[in-house]
Amino acid sequence: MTTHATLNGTITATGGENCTQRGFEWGYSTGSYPNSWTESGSFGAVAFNHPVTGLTNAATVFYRAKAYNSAGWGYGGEQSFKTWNTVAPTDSGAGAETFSGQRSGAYTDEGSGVDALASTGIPVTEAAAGAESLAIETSFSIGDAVTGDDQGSCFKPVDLTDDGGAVDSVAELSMEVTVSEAGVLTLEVCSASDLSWIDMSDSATGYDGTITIEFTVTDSGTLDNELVNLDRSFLDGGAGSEETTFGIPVQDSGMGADYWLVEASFTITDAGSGVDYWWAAQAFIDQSDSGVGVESSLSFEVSFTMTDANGSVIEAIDAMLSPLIMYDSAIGVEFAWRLKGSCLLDDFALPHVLMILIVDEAVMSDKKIHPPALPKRKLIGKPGRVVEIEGWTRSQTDVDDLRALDDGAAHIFIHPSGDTMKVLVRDFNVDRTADEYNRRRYQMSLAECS
Amino acid sequence: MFIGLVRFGEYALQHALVLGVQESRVIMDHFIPSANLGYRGDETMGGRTITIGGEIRDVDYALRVEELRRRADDVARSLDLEDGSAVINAKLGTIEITWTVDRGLTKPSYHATFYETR
Repeated sequence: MTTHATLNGTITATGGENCTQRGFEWGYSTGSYPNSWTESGSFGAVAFNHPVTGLTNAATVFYRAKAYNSAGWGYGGEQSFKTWNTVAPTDSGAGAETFSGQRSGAYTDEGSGVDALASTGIPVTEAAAGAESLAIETSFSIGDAVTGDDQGSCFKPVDLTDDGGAVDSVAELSMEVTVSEAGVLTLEVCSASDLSWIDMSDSATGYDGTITIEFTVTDSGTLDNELVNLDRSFLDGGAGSEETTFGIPVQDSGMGADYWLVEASFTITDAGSGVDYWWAAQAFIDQSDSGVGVESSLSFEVSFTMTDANGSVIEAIDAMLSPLIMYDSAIGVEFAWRLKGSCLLDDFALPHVLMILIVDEAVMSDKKIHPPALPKRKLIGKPGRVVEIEGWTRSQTDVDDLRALDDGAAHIFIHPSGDTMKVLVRDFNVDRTADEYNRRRYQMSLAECS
Repeated sequence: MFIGLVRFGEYALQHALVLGVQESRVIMDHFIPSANLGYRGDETMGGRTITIGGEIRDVDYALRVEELRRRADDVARSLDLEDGSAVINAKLGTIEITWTVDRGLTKPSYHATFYETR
């Protein structure tokens, strides 16, 4: 699959003299643009674009527009977007996996009214004047390389084209994916669910949108529910446990390699008037340890927040995709996640924090009123916040380090948000159970002090 | 989210999801020697205790939390549940903020306790 993009730019002012050249520069690191395209002519203050093909997979592309007249080159601010991930699939051991499905179509508005894309059942609502086109494509692939890891990917690009007038459209995409593994087990289904999004309405200044996708990962066995909101991947080289550099551990409890990848990225480009588009790429895999197996299920919670160029929220959507469930009979792969960000006690990062509770207690007193009536209540004071933290670790060293902090001395607690408070460690408990013997669950109670 | 907003003074609580109203009166027991039944007197209203649970859905969640905390300042404000009930006078007391791994860092849930007052 070719990874391609269209770069958009606008000459906003010429200084009274048309530009003789205009173009784009791009590269894969910020501030570095080894690739360039220019065209010559006489150009006023208008928008222009240029298609680029052959971009690197799953890369962040940085680019900027440029234009030239006798005053020299002028450059636009740096922009960036992510390219699709089309990583080739591999397999971990015996057994074959397949994962396929594709749906595509194009929509052209005929002028007024509501149209639906017959081939996909995607309704598009038109509000007023203007022509819309909408193309949605999803594709999935998982290949089996006999040995090694298997992985698949899913892409959902959307293109909304506005010809200058107002465009209002709503696209809903239902997606159905069947995953099967020949021989060893039959894996199930990412069932049809609603993924809704709205862009649109670029008339003049247009919208600049931001989108957040959050993936909720649920394991079907003895594991935790976790949230992941990331765009990283990691690869297990064989048996055993690995931990990625960003702190997501994977327990491989059986044979084979386990692989997990979640990726989502979105770009909305507003060219002033004219073309707005965004695309979304989601790659997800479960991993199908084909010899012994994988137990896991995925569900996807998708939330979109559209904001305009001033940061005001235009639209927010929450949607839940039905889970992708993969059944397996034997030993599984264990996923465990943590809250994003670092939760620090002094300079010690609390391992795998799953829950933070901050209680800001207020002590009230009631002043009785006669005759019996509503009392006058007064806030006497606040004893200070109490922070309850739950998490887990596989490391006894971590437990020892945590216990060492229970020393009666004041420490600095740093919340992942950056909020800090001076605290005493009030309680520290560690639990281990036979079914998760290597997992040490801890609870820590911190009392704010002066 | 509730159809209406929950307002504490001019401040609208974020995405209120759960509302609990506890009403009580203070009944004092006076024992009477040798009597099977004592005397019970209604001393006063307890005043309603209203707990509101909800979610903060904002990348500026730390700011939203602080906005809430700052209002636990012993100042009585109007509490309007916008559910058709009468607006009452209340003070904000204990606040609990919870971050869990299944909701993520930017979606903490909160529990705020309001005390109806004169």
